[in-house]
Amino acid sequence: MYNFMNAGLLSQLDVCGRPPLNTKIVGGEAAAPGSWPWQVSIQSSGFHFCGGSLITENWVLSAAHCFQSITAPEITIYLGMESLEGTNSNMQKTSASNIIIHQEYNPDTHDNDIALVQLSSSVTFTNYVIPVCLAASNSSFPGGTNVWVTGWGNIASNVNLPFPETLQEVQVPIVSNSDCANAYGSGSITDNMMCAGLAQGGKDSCQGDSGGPLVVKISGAWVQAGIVSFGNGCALPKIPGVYTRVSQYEDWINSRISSSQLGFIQFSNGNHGSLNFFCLFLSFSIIPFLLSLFNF
Amino acid sequence: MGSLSKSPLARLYMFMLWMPMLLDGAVAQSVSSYGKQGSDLGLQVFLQMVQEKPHENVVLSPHGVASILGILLPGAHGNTKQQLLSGLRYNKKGPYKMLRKLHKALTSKANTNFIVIANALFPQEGFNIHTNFLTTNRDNFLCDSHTLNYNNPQQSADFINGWIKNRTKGHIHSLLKPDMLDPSLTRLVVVNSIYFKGMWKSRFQVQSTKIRSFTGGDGKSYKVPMMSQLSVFKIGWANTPDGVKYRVIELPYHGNHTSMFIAFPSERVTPLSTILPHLTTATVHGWAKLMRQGKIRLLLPKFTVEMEMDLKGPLFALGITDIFIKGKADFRHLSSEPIHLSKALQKIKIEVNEDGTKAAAATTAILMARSSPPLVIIDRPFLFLIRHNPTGTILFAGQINKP
Repeated sequence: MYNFMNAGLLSQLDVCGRPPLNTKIVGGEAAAPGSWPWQVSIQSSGFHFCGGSLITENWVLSAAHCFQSITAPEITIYLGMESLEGTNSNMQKTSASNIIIHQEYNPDTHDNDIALVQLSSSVTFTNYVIPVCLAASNSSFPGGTNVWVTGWGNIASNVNLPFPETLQEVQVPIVSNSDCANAYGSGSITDNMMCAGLAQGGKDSCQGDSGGPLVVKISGAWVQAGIVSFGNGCALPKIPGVYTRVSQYEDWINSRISSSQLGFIQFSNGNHGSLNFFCLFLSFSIIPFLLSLFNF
Repeated sequence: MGSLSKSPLARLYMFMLWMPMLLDGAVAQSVSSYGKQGSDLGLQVFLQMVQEKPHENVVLSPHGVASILGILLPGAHGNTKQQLLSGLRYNKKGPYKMLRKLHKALTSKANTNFIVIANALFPQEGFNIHTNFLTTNRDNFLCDSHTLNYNNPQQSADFINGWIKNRTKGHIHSLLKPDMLDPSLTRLVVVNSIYFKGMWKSRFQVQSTKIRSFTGGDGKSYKVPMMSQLSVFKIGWANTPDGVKYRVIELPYHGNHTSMFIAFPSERVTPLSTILPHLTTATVHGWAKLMRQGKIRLLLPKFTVEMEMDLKGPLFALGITDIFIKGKADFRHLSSEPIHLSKALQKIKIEVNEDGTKAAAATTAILMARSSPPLVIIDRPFLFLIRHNPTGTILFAGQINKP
């Protein structure tokens, strides 16, 4: 087992997005423990209300709309969680010292639905607590790209995740912004958004998943491309879920937190035709970290 | 409705006693006023009480206070009457008509298991109360009258307690102690009792009730059973004239004509007392404009609160003094014998629990953000009001410092 206790000497890019235990929300299934070690539960008074993703040892990425009626002292961040109920020896919890909501977040249009939560104390990386890599600027996610979304949200509109509330994972294809705008209306899907969902419906994120990550695997590393934001209902046919497009915010995130710790990875897909034969390539925004990638 | 009485969820029992009441006066058709402002005096009494007990639970029925004064009003004359009138702030016409309508609405067949309002006069045997006074109260306040022999305090107390127990369906017993009835001075006891068994329009699931922390009015943390439900409620923010922001939530009872309003300061550090002084029926009416329908997860303590109170102090402070003062009290339209009120007692018991009529309604909104609905947790001192919405009558007002 890789010991992340030693990871302090390495940069964030060395560790982000590579969970040793990774081997899928509406239409999803229970995730194996440690599969999505960046997934956090953001709670208030013992109630989960939003998801989020760990991006450094003391910052969590989430959605702006999660924090419209709540302040940092009122929330607790849970990491390493499998189920929301019961005990879990891998669980770490910490309070939040600060919440940064994007200055141009628009609650009416959902544009710029992104927020950063600063943890009061640094978390310890373990097999169950690992940061995710982030999609760098200029990443592109063509329609049809398969991605995973995780969360503890409803398993259908108005149906809560049942006991013991085990983290759910679901695989859905990206839907292009132009196709997505057909479902939501012209102009409603901005460049800061991306969509994902099956044409026939049945698989989607839902209420309670907000702030959680939409991720895609690139040569062994999981990269967060989206943040669960909004939708018309959940998992309806021809109505994809809408996500905040993380790659639009590399500069914003870097400007708000110490950027040297962050693992941004550029993602693009040269094959626009067949989903089964992706031609993936990586380009790292920080070249020196490329070599250490293969420590895994 | 049968099942409602078997499984009460939110219950309110309220009971008031005024005794011994000694009077003088002669009967007259003093068709005095009793109007829409009826609940404001009761709210004033409530505010007097919470001022004296800022860290305790306080419960009062403003409507009950008004009812008792309203029962006395036709018997009063001169300055005694003026004090009652200015206290009640009633206009000259129409209040009794409104009251009859209210009592009819509250006690209609459809609501039989929901609320019981019972008033009674218990005059001393042989004590001459003018017939017109009794008739007026029977019509306006559904008021019974039973003569008692107060020379036997035990028997009199037993009778009144039995009457109350019967009328409140067994939920209030043994309030009146024999030593509270002076055998030589007691001429009249006035009782106002309300039994209220509220069924939430949207029930709380019993299995969702969990023990959680509640920060009491004393600043200490208490573990209390906290009910929880995810549902659509009217919720909003209001401001006091001093600019103190506070949260307001409306929880409708079955049938929609009665609601519980809950209010508490938005800042945890702001004491509940800062939002109370401007409380009037107009304030409560104004909340409607500030509230919007919203899906929230509401956490509300399950609580029982029971208290007995002497209303004399607060009423005195509000300028209603003569009725209590021997020689000044002028009840010439009630009886030809001089009489004054010695004690004004109110007894209330309230239980608030999960019971309701149906599960929370599911709603689907277009373009919904995918966060869970906001959590509204009432884990610090709060004000509650139970209002009959069509008339604006405040049936109950309470301050909960520790559930």
